[in-house]
Amino acid sequence: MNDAHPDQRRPLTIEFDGPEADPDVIDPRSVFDVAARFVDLVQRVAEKTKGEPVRLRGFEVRDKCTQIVFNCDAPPERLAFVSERVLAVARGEARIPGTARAAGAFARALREADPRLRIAQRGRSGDLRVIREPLKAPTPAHRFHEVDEVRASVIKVGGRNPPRVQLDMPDEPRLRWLAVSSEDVVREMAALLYRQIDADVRIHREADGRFISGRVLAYRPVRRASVGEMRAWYREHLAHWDDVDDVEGALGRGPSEEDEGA
Amino acid sequence: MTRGLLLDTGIWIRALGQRHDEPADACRRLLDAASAGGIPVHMAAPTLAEMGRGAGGLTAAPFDVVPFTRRAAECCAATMPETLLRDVRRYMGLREHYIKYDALIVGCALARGVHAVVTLDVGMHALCAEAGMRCCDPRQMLDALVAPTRARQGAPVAE
Repeated sequence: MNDAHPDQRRPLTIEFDGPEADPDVIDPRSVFDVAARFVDLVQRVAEKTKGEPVRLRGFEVRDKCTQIVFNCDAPPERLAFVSERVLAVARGEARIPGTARAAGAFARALREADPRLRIAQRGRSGDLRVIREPLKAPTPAHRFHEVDEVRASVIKVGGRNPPRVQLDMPDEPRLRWLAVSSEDVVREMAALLYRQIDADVRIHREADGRFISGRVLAYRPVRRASVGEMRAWYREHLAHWDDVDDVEGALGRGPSEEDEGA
Repeated sequence: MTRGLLLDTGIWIRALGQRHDEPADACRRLLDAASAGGIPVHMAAPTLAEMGRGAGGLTAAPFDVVPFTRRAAECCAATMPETLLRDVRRYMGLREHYIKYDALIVGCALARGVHAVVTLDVGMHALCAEAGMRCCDPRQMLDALVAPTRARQGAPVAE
C-alpha cells in the first residue's frame, strides 16, 4: 500500500544509453534482467543502510534512450542517499556489508545482457546510467590463451585431424571440442565417456572470454578415495597433527597478534 | 548435495586424525556419513598446503583437491574485495594473512560450485555469507546428512 503523500514520491531511475538503446530496438530481455537486479540492489542497499524504508512501487518507461523510472516512497534526502550508495556499490567504489551478493548479481546481469554495457557516472538527474560502448572490431591482439585445470565430463570422442574430444566444462555455456595429442588418447578417453576428469587445458579465447579453440594437455579420471584410504595416507604423512593441542593456533587462525598482546 | 561439500582445514585434520578434542567426533562422523551417502567431499588446494607444511610426498594425496584456478581467482576478486577482508579481520580480531587464506579457500569452493563449506572458523562463516556460499559447522551438516527430512529442506545456511 502506498500511503505516502504524492509529493514524497520521487523517481529512482536506470537509464540505458548508447547505440541501439532506444526503446523500439533495445533487447527487452536484457533491459528487464538488468532492471530486476537493479531493483534487488536498491532494496538491499536500503535494507543495509540506516534510514527510512524505501518502497518501490510501479514504474514507467520513458523514451530517452531507454529510461525506466521507478516510483518510490521515501523522503528525498533518503532517496538521494540510497541512490548515491547504489551507484557506488554497483561501480565497485564502495562496499556495504550484506550487499555483495546483490551487487554481484547486478554485475552478472549486465555482463550477460551485453559485455559492452558499462555503468557510467551519475546522470544529470541523479540516476544510474548504463552505457553500451560502441562495438570495436576484435583484432588478434585482443585474443588470449589460458592454461587452466578444469573438471569436465567426457561427452564424445572422435575426429582425425586433429583427434579430439568433446567436454562438458562447468564454465562453458555449451559443450566444447578440444584437440588431444593422438588417436591413442582418444581411445583412452573413450573409456571415460560420461565420467568426470580433471584436465589441464590450453584454451584460446576471444577478448571477451568466448571460447575459440582448446587442447587437452593432460587429464586424470576423477577418482574418489575411500575414507579408510584417506586416513591411512594421513597417518603416514600428517600424523604429527595429532600431537598439536591447538589446531587453530597452529594454523595461525587464532586471535591476531595485536589482540594477543592486549 | 550431489555437488558435494568443501571441508575447511581444521575439519580435515580432525576428521582424519586421532584427536580427542570436542569437535573431532563430529568431524569424523561427518566424513564417514558423507562417504557412506556418496556425497563428494572436496579439499581446497590451500588446505593441502596448510596441512602439509614441511611434509613430503604430498603428490599422491588421495583427496579431491580443488585447484586455485583462474576461475577461483575471479570468484575471489568479485566477491571478497580487500575492504571486506579488512572488515572481517578487524571485526573478528583475526590475523590478516589467514583471512586471505580463508578467502582463497572460499574462492575454490565457489569455483567448484560445492553445496556448502563446512568449517569451525568464524571468519570463514563471515566470508561465505558475503560471497553467497552456504556455510555451516560440522554438527549442523551432520544433522542434515543423517536426518533425511531436514536434508530435504536444505542444510543449515549461514546468511
